[in-house]
Amino acid sequence: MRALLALLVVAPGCKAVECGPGTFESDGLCIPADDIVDPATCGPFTELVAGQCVPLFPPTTCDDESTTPELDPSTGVTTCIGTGTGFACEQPVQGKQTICGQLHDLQTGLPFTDGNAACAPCTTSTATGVCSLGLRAIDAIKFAMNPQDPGAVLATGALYLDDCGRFKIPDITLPTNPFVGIGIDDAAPGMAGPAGTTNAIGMATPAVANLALKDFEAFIAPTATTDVWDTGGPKVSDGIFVAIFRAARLGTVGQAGVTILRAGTPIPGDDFYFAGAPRTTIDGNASSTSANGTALVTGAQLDGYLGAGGLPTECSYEGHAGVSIPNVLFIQIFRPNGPTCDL
Amino acid sequence: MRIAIIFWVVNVACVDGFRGANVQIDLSPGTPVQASVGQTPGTNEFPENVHLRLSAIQHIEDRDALIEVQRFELHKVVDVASPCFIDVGINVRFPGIHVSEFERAVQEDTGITDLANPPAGATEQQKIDAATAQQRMLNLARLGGSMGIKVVTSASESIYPALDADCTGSGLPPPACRDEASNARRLAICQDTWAADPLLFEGTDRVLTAPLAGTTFGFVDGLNPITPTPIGGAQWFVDVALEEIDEYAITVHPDGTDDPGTLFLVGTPVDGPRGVDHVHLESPSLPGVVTAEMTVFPNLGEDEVSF
Repeated sequence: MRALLALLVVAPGCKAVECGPGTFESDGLCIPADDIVDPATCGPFTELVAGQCVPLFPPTTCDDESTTPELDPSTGVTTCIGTGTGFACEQPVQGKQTICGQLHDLQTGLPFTDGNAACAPCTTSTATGVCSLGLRAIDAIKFAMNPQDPGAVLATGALYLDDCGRFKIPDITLPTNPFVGIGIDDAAPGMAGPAGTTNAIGMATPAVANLALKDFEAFIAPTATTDVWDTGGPKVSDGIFVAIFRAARLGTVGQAGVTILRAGTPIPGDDFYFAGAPRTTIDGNASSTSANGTALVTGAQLDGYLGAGGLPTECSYEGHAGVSIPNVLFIQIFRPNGPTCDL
Repeated sequence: MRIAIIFWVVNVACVDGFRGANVQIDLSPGTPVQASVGQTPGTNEFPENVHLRLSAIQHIEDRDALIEVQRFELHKVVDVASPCFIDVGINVRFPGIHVSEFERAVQEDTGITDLANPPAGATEQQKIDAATAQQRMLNLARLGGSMGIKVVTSASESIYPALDADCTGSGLPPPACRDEASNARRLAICQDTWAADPLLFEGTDRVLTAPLAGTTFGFVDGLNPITPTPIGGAQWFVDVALEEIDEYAITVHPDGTDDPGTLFLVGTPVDGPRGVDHVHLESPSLPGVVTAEMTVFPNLGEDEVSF
């Protein structure tokens, strides 16, 4: 019995291999490293990180007082944007998302700016013009299901809006749902909805942590625009999903000849198209987009939408969700896609 | 008998099996994927002919000792540009057809080119088949699009044979060839290529986790664009025990070269409870944009649990 206890004491664990420095245990054996790197091989202003010599300092350092760094995530290139007239979209704090962009007039597609705009930040709310607007970040799914849900509003950093119509919604606390929405309406509480500078506008984009999303196209649409649609078209009071089909992956050119599909199926009766390039006159006989690439949809219940037609066979439109919320214009940009699509 | 009992008692504390480690990784949604076969890399894409390596690093005095732990690639779950993105299996309608031609083949088979106006005499099953084929094409565009699913796969340097100029050759037919002979020839050549290199990856839209060829280790964090539901997470069982590791790195290497690679992600392990390590990996070139969270269960051969 004493011998048995002694055996137990001398065999407390199972580890049979102890590998020395620079060797690794693999399949029970100690094997040499694939590579041993000497930091002396690194040149000036570089250091050894994970076996490679990498720059000791960030590749770009912007002057704090006159510039703001803007990172292009597709290339890793940081550009210093002048703070005088430049418009940088800074990286959000860890785990958040920032959305930057330009407001446009939905009817004309042109940037929405004040007359004699100097790109000065809106410091006080005005009765008309860009600085009469208020922007906020929302959980797009929660908002679509219940626009009155106070839980749909997302926390952000300090909003930026200037009289050129440029905006930043920084450091958005991401929702649990996969889409972040942007809500645009008159800032004055009494002017919410159709009154004032714009109808209530909603837009959405995928929620991506640590992303500074640049050049986001946002829109305003006053009742002067949407009242015209009442003739032969949908009414804002019922809610309108505005689908804008672009002709290319970049740019603002609309695509003609596109029919919107709900869950892959045409929706005659629920879709409306314009008679020409301006987003004014509805063509009751049209079954596809005019040169402005725009379809107006009613009765959208947070469905998936696509566009059919107008593109070469190797290209197709990516799907997006759409919804019709009473007294809200929900606007979504559709762009062509495809592995061999050169648009 | 007494000796047998003593041996059993002494050995009961050990589980002598796999001595390597388990690595589980969540790559952030912004992680690039490799370009489609034969395509120029687009925005946020690696070139087609690269692979990635996960390496473990020990700091020894003033030097770094590296060992490759796992080699892998990152792809879109379906690559419509691949010459072998085909239908395979006993239950498929057109074995060997390039999937991009599936809807057209169904249209020819059923005579239904306009779902809203099927020909007189079309059966209910034919209407269902035509509609299903159209929906499949829509799903392909979503799965393979820029917001589609990214998959972590086995790595291979193999490439497919060159495409024939037309449907009458004896080699790999172009995707547009959907006649029976072309489909059969495409099926045979693709399966031969896969058999010659079991690591060559080719995904399918039919079962996202069961590729036509190669291995799916998991997915980059993201959304299934069809449902849309969150997906993500990949794992490997590796031979290296991964004990006393000071740093982990993921590097990108051109296929078929001794290139030391480009550092893509790097992180330092933090000891967690029950011997499990956690590693937050950051990209030196894209800090905060591309990240990964990795969990390492080191030396699975060491199990000190007593029963």
